[in-house]
Amino acid sequence: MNTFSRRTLLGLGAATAAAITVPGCSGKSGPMRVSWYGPDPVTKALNKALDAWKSSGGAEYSAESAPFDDYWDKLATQTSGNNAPDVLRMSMSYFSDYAGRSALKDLGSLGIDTSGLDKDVAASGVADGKNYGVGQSSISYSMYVDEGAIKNAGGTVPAQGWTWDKFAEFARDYSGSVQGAFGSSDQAGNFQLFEVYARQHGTEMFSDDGGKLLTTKETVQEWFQYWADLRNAKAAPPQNVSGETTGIEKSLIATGKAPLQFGWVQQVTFYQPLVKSPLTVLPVPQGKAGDLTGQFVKGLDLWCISAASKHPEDAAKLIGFLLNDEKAIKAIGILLGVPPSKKARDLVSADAGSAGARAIKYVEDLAGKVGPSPKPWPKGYGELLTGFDRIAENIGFGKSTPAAGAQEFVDLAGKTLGQ
Amino acid sequence: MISRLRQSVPAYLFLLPWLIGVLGLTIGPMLLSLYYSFTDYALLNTPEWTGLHNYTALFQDSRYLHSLRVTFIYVGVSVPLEMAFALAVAVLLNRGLKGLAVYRALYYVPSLLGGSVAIALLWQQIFGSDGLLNDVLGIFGIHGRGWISEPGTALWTLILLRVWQFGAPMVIFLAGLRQIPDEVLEAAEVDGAGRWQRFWRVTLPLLSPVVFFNLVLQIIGAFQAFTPAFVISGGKGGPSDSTLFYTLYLYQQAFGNFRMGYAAAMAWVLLLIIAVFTGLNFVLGRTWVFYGDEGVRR
Repeated sequence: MNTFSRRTLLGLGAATAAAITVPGCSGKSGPMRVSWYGPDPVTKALNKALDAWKSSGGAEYSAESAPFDDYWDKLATQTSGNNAPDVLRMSMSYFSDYAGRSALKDLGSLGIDTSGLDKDVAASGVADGKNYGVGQSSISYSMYVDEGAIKNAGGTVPAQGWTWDKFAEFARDYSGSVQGAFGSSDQAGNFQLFEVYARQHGTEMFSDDGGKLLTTKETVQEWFQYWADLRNAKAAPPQNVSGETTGIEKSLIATGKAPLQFGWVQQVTFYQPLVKSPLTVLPVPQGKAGDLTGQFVKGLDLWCISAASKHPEDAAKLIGFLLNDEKAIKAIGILLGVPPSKKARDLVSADAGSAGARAIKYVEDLAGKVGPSPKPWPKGYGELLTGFDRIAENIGFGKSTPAAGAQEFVDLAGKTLGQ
Repeated sequence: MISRLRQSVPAYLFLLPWLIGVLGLTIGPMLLSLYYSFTDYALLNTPEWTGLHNYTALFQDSRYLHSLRVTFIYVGVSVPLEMAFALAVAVLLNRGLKGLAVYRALYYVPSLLGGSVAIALLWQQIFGSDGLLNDVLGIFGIHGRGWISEPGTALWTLILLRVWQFGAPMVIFLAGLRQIPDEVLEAAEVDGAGRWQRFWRVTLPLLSPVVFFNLVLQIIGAFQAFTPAFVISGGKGGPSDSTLFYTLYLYQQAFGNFRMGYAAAMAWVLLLIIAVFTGLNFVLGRTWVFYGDEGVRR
């Protein structure tokens, strides 16, 4: 009885294993899948552009979308399960992680029409001589300023933005004159704003091969100290307030508790509906007045095709459509960033006076004044992005100091980069 | 022999759906994760064997050690509180209340909802600085704070959330209390035992197997808690890592930082920790759990 039952069991086990592995291998077929991250307005716009694709006779597709943070958990799981979407939105923050691990297709032979695109943007997905993605937009860092609120408080807004020193002075004055408000939200944990600050100190943030942090510990410490001073002066909110004001709706500018907000230029269109007066788009503070070389204009979001895609031709056609078709361009507007071609910018900025038109003008004005674009952000960037924020938070709660935090960040970069 | 085989084949056929589940969805992935724990596996590449490196790296990782500490505090505080609360409510409900079924259901509901995303979001609304709790405190002139956004209090809101889900152990306690024969309690009363004495000397010892069962389950469940911390802290374990549960840090390493091998090692260490605690429970349980058949065994 025993031997038989055991053997039967083994046989069944083997059969089961076979039954499980066989369907596991076949993978999914079905229509092409398109996936992106972004808040609700982005999803609405892309669905509209995809409707245009369908009505112009494009191939069948199914669409997926998620907020930025969740998107990456999902994409990592899908990719490792050989089940990544065919067309996917890729952020520069994770580009090297995916491209460097052969998860993206080389677009070289797929014939996507990028002839109308700005050269910088068309090339932003090039890594190791291969083109793994096409830029969706060209963007730059910026601040959105509620000039009306500042004038009411008796302040002025310089046309080119502030220097860091003048900005601190302004923030102190503003919070002194408006009861219960702060001159600025706390940006200590904003790694992307810090990159501009770091470039203003004379070096790129990362070495060209992405293996090392070039920014010094002293610069990081100075940055943490700058915001600690603003918090101490009550010009920026205390850490527990910052923790509750991270979403767009809850942000200090949306609730009228700060007159400005930092972010990528296209995000002004997410904030504008929540603020009554029009938001002015300005360069971020500078080391020397008017010197904008710390900033850069770059395609930081890309359309990519996953290496495992079963519909590469359709996927390539769809990407070409989203970049070049008039209806698609109009549907997307500025929600993915400033459009990457002259034709698209003219189509979108026709709506003069909109936040979108102001964002486009901002990027066009910046061109020629900004510094050279950095290389694609290195592998492990995502970890540094969250780590920087965490360290800043520890300092904000008094659990660390700017000096100790700077050391912690340098150590983290040493451990994470060049793996 | 053949006839016996004939007998057992249908049995295995009936077992087949379960076997497929266990082998394909539990044992297979577990073995794979054991293998990954000895590799450098970044989710998108093929795993590379690195031996014990992931395990040794764990103990040099200060955030890992911190997550252990947070988890131990969570388990150590929430489980005794939840158990005591569940037992107290069960004893009250067991006193022949009218409409017992209604109360029982009412108290049980949080257990069904507690692990869900919706409740975690609700918690955010209650304990935020503009939340319900501060509104109530405001009535009494107390100036509240952002309970979730401050590292000193955030973990305690999660502990409270767990205690609030006392319904599941309560229902089991209630069933246990129903099993205690009235004669024994009456006999104790006749012998002059007061209410407290009857509870400590009669009810609790007779209930001890149920207490033990609940304790084991609750400790295991608390070690594995994930959803509340994930939702309430937006996946970060903040503020300032104060709610960085073990499982949350594991998740961050696996899906945020592409360190699946490292995360797999963390998972196996957690399994070991839970196994040790459960084993310890069983050893210690011999000294205080009373099954009522001790006399027979001797």
